[in-house]
Amino acid sequence: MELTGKMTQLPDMPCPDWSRREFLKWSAALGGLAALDSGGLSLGLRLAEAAEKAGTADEVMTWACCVVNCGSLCPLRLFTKDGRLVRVEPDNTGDGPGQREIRACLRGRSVRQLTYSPDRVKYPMKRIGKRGEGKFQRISWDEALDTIAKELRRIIDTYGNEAVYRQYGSGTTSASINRRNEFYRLINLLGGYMDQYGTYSSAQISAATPYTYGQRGANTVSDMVNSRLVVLFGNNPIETRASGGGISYDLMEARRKGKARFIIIDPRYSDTAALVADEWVPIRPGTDAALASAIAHVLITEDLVDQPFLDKYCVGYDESTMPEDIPPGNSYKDYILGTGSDGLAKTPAWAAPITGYPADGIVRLAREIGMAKPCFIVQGLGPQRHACGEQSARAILTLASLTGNVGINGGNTGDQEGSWGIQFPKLPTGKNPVKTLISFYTWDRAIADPKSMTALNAGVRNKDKLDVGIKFMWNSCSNATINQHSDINATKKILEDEKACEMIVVVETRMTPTAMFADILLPSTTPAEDEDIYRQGSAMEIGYLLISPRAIKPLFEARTQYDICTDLAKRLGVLEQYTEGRTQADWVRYLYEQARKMKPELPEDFNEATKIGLFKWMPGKPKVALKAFRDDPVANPLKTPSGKIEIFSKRLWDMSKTWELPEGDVLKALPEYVTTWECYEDPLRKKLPLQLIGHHYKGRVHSSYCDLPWLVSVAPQRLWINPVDAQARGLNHGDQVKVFNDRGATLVKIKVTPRIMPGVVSLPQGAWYKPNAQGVDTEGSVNILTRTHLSPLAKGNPQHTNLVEVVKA
Amino acid sequence: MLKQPAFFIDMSSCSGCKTCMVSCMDKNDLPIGVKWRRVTEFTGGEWMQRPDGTFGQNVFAYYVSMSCNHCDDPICVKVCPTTAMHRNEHNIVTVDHNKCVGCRYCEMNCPYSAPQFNAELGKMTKCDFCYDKQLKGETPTCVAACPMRAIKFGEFEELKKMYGESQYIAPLPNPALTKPRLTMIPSRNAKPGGSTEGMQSNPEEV
Amino acid sequence: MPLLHEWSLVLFTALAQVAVGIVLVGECLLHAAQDAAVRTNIRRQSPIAFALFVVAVLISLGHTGSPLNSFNTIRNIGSSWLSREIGMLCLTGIVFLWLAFMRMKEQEQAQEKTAAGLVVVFGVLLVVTMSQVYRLPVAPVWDSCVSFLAFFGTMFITGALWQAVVVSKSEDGEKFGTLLLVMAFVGLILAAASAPLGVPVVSADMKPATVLGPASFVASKLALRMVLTGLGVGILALTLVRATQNCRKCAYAPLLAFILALTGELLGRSMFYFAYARIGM
Repeated sequence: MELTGKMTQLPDMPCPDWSRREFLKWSAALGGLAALDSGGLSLGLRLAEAAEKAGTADEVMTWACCVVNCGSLCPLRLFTKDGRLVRVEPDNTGDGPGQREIRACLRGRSVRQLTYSPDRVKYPMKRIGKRGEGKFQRISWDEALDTIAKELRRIIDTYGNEAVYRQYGSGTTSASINRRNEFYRLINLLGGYMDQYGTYSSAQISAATPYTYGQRGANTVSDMVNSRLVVLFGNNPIETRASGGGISYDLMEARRKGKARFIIIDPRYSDTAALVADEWVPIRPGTDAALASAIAHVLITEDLVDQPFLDKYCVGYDESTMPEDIPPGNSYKDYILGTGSDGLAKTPAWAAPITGYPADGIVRLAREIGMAKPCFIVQGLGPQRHACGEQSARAILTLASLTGNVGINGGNTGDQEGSWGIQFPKLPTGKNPVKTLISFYTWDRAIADPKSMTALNAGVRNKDKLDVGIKFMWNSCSNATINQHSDINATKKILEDEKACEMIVVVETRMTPTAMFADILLPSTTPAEDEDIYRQGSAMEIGYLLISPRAIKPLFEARTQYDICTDLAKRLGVLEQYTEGRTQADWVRYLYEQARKMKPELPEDFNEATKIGLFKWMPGKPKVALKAFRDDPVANPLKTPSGKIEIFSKRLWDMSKTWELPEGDVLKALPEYVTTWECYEDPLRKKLPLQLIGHHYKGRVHSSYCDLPWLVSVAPQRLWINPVDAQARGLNHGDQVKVFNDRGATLVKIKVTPRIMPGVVSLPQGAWYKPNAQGVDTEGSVNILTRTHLSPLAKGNPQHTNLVEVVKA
Repeated sequence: MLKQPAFFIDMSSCSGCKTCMVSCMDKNDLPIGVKWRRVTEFTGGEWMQRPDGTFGQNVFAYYVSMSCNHCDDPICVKVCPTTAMHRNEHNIVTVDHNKCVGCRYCEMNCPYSAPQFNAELGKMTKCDFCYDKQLKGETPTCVAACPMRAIKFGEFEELKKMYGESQYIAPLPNPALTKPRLTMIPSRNAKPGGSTEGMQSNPEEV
Repeated sequence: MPLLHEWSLVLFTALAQVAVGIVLVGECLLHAAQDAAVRTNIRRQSPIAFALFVVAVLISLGHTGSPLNSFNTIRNIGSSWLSREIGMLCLTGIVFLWLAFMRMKEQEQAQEKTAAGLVVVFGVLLVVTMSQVYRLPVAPVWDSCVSFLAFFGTMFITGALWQAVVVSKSEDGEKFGTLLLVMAFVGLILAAASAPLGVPVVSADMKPATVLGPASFVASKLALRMVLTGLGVGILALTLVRATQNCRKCAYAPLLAFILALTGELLGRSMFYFAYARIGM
């Protein structure tokens, strides 16, 4: 049979017709089998056994949610028997027009092992010994909460509310109550807290994109069905957003139903490349802006740019749309063609040795992008999570403008794919009287050296400088403190000083590396032990509301975050205001009523709603970002100073003159390629020749679901390394290696694969840090190797910019 | 219940996410090491560095999800000394634990690794097509779980009419060996059976 | 550890073949032996061989996960060579027990010859079924006559060398020398023929996890096995060249020969199992 390799439309499989009669017939047969001879008896026994396992009358089904931060947030059906979880099943409410099952991926399906993990935090604990030693003593809830309340009060009285900080964490993202809001709500009643901006996911792109477009925004994936070409930069949704209701499924459908060719640009041949790429363009980490610039060079010199679009909608493409007081030679065209200040033409021949991708390939790629009408250019969060990642992000965005693909069906802004959902209300948090904001990524400096942080050097917002640092840190749904933040060894030292940050509270379900650094560690509940009301995340084109009753009793002494905060509120004299007289169950009901105000078609009777559990809405058509602007830029200007797309940003031009940046960091008005520390061109490569990235892996969601046996058995932690690099080091697939640089070292096994570029290695992020006696991590935790270095604009995390060496361990 | 239940895998939609593997482990409470469904990564391709330091490559990869094909000519049933491995009255190849002695001969003979030894039980176990669920009108767990809808099931004859006979695609064994009840759409990158262009590259995961 | 791979199958198959070999070679010797003391000596090997046989069967249970279900293993004689092998194990065991029982007595019994003949016939059929068990279409290295050659090789070599130890001390030792040497050499040739077939060729369509080690490892161990086994047979040959009566040091030569050959055969057997690699996924 000929292998056509063509995508065929998959007809819906005819589902067997299970008439009730069929079922009854077999039930009778079951009874009859017991009477047969020994061979038949064993068969009968097997069937009966199977029937019992499959779900009998004494099993209870409860809706729950996988709550972690992949963005998808899939519903789960939990089956319990005798108070114990026995099985997890997915959304089975059917596929069809306007209906999509949001099927959980392997991570959500492991929720039983998550719930019953042997490393659950069982009781409230108090630290004995030094911070980080992991030596704890069990204490009562009363003692734990008394201590926290007393310390919180003392720290607020001594240092003010700016000294209180909730650590960034997204371990629970879909819940409306037990998420992060329950602490914000409490602390806002006590004078507030110092808040953060930006996230470990998207700091640079979130900060940079508004300088181009005034806001973030992108077309949704279903719009790809209207494209002729889809180009993904550093984007791997098939693995990172594997939900059966979201982007992965939409991507497949768009590919099946549309006519687009798919090009994947990534140092790795990711699962997205494996599944949808018609072409894989491997480039070195951190060189996206170089590639984009060379593509622009071809587009410009071969007259493939959409000049009318650039004239009408953009600022700074060429001299004709530059802001008035900028000297000539500073337009984007100048930069690309070499008539600018650096006199360097950004030709494919220039970009080729930087990116590692051949010049003729760049020319072909550029022509294809230029001639495909429309072209869906999209980036993931990989290119921006680099040193000076803001430049990469803006450079990719610019391609969308050069080709006139912004604001139309089948095109895109170049930003990460959009989503659709309904913003059902969460637990209200009140207002935060404290206006000071720091970047999510600077908390360690705010502990160690707060007075050195200013608006101009560290991105402090709404205040010129910090007066007091973080003295009280609340960690919930978070493993950032130690594990997800950069440079674990350096961060540890900061935390070990008990005079710096005086109180660290960790509210956790499992003994994570962050939990090891708690002063007070509180056991908290997993979704199965919780009651809450959930809604969709940000990675699908479905809106849903999910009412989740408690499936099992909390294990050991675990309590929900709302209950914990309620008891703290009582001790701090704000109980009434905190609860408003509501228990958690009452809040679920209340939030449901608020949701009904948005969607009156929801059942009036809460009990009936709970029985149904899951409610979905779908928009029915793709979202086109900035469509209104494209249709009428005068009536619908962008939120930029000019109201247009700012390829050249005057604001960045001005900021580059006033902001205080360390050597090598730059703010640029244009989306230029910049070389940085530990990039491909860094001379340090003589000693540490391999570029290290930390891709996001199907075995975990960040650091959630880590070390669950089923997941480890199908997706173990491995360093990806090319056969050329492995052979040069005498390494074979499965060998244990030491990955190291000047910041630290880790031991991990390797996956030798041609699916990663030579010269590049990747250590999937999120593995839990477990040091041996020599201080070497033993689990492949990538942040033992990353550098805490604020990106210039976002003051964000460059966690994919690292140089390392690998040797046999 | 279907007369001849058969799996269908759309390799062109399989993302290699392994949700099918884990959902099966959950439904059947499988101990670690027992994998009733296995997703194999087939990868190949080489890199070539040009004098200017840039690279050319022809890398490809795809995933194949396999459980048990409840074959028409099942080697495991033929070779099992105790008749524990048998085709039951629902046309499912399954293991009778009252007879199984755990000699693992079926495991040695099956080119799909379908029979999996459960050390806790001391017996062989394998995909049973969730026939307990099928009898209740429900869908086998892996079929219901697959986020990409890449695994489906149905009547073998009907599936064959739609998708043709089982194909010899790498890394699958030649279907002539056991006549698997398996229909498929091959991956876009699919290589012919026995191809040396690639290899099964994730042995530690299956 | 590669050498301990499938240890229970290695020991079971080898020891069963040793037991059958002892009786088969013994019967050939009994055909020619006239001296009563010699005959008694040779006859006495049958219960010992039976004990070996029982030990082999018990060790084989070590390969099963649920030995208590063992009685089911003869249910599929219709299509399974493994079931047939176990069936032959039972048949052989029954007549072997009978033979052992009779030969524990000083006096030779009338039915001994029948019983011994049955043990030889069933024993050979047993080794045939054992060999067939390993002719798997999915394991290219086994899908040849390699198991036949190796198993019958072991049977002849160890049978002959064991009996050499038994009869070497007797006065008629020399008389049997040629017969024993011929049988040992037949075995050696079979073993040598099996060796190259036993080196696995790893092909692209093999399940990686079943490929246990490089072919060079197996090849080198099979070569070593040939050396050990060959040495054993060679020493046997040597004991026939030199007069055994006059050589006090050579008294232990046959025993040394047997130990060397057995070691070689066990090494070869463990490589036989180590070389298994299966096609498919």
